Amino acid sequence: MQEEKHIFKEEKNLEKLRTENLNAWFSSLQILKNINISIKKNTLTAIIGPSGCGKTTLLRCFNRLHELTPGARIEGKVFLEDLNIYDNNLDPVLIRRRIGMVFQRPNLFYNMNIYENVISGYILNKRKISKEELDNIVEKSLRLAGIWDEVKDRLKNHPSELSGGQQQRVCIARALAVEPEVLLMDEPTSALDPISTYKIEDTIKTLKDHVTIIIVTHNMQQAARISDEIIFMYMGEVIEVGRTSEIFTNPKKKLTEDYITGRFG
Amino acid sequence: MNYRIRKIYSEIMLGLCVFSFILGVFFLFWILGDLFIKGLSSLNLSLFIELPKPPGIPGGGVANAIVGTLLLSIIAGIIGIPIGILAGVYIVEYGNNRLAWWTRFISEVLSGIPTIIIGVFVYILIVISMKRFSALAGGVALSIIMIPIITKATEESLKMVPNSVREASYALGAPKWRTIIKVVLPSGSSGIVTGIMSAFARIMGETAPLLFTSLNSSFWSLRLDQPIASLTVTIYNYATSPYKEWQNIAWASSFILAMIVLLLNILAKYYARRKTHF
Ligand SMILES: Nc1ncnc2c1ncn2[C@@H]1O[C@H](COP(=O)(O)OP(=O)(O)OP(=O)(O)O)[C@@H](O)[C@H]1O
Ligand SMILES: [Mg+2]
Repeated sequence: MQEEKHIFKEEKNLEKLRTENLNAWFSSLQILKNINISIKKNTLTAIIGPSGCGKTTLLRCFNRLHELTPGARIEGKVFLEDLNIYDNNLDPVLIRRRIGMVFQRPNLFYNMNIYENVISGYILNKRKISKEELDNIVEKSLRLAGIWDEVKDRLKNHPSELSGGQQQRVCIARALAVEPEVLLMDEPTSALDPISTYKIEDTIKTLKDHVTIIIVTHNMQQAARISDEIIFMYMGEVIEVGRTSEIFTNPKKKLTEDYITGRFG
Repeated sequence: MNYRIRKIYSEIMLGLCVFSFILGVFFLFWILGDLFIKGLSSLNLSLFIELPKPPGIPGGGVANAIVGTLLLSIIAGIIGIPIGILAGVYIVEYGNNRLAWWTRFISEVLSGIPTIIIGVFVYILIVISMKRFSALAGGVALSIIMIPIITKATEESLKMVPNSVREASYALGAPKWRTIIKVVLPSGSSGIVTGIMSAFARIMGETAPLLFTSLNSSFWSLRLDQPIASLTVTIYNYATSPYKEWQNIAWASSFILAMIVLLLNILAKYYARRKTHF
């Protein structure tokens, strides 16, 4: 018993994601400045900071989406365990299969029905599995995203039938369906009502046991409710990193305190 | 004062608009009316099943020309649709380089070239080197007319596909080409289908480029390396002939052609109206 706990604790302390002098630009505009952070395995990290400080950009550096914007580039390294995801010989596609993402706004595929959307990770990557297994994956993922009951009778319908909040939860199901090791979530609940938000938060909390989650949020209460660690960013820099309880009760930097108490941002 | 001038000005403009509208509609109905009256009265079954007969002999049809037009369109489609779509995809999805700029430029220039020049071009390129007029040459000429229309339609509809959808696909680990095939193209499909329909409607009405390429034939033929009849060239020949029966057949053929083109245009509109959801 004692030993099991010990092992579990060690698991928790393993590093999952780390950046080394990460800088990012849009054309000549530097957005991220020398980011050095480390994120532990199977923890929930919340990135907070005022609008435009580079939270989304940082998230998009973790799955190499940033570089797809014309004129965007990065310098530095990002390690997924001990693999540098910016290694020149590495196909970014392989990284993106291990690191899932939920975007700020729902972006379901409108050429697919709800069911196909959930398994689109398999369709798009030509992963062949049986119909039965797919059915299971769909149900499991939709349940995890807290939307199974709402859509179980209309899986073959078009996603535009769903409300924005429902679509966002299907987006979460779609990301979960491929069982990513890391899940990036960019303000996943900013478009949701309190009840859906609560459902998602519940999901996120249960996922934490086997997925490393990094979530961007503007909602301080949410960050306090669900996260283990907090990264506070300001104008492209990481100002403070720490355990959620500490950041909220005892921030080390004045800027952090001002932000979380709502004095600006 | 100022207001009154503006108001008068506006009224004059409105009057001009209404006038040109009426003028346009007047001619449209005149043409269609003539076509209906003369075309319908000459329409009969033998038109669809018989081969042309020499003047003076009753009966005779344009069955081979109908088949010919279809065959020419199919050849043009087989060549023109993939090239047109690929060019459009290239421009939108890989569009940040000089080659894409040139692709778009060439496509735009191509769509402005008079079709008779395309006919001459294919004549020099294919007819002279094969030493004969052929269905293939006709199909190629028509495909060159099709390509820029389809490229433009593909370009326009892929631009409507929001980038967030592409990113969703990339974020799931899909490579770019699979994203294009599985997400981007299907999302823009209704616009592309519309473009293809209009392109077919357009080429089916072409005469000039066929005069140099597929020419004409009074026989059944499905051979690509032989001249082939087409509705438009048949209409051209028959309508300018001095024989009354032939002129009637020209009217009936025009009616058939107009109906096919109209149907294609309606289909195109139908597809365009289908919900794209964006
Ligand atoms: N495609 C782009 N081209 C140029 N600049 C961009 C682009 N996208 C974002 N930026 C700029 O990069 C900076 C950081 O943007 P980012 O989206 O990362 O901010 P954020 O912290 O996520 O903000 P928010 O909380 O409002 O979502 C902003 O100043 C923004 O204007
Ligand atoms: Mg953002």
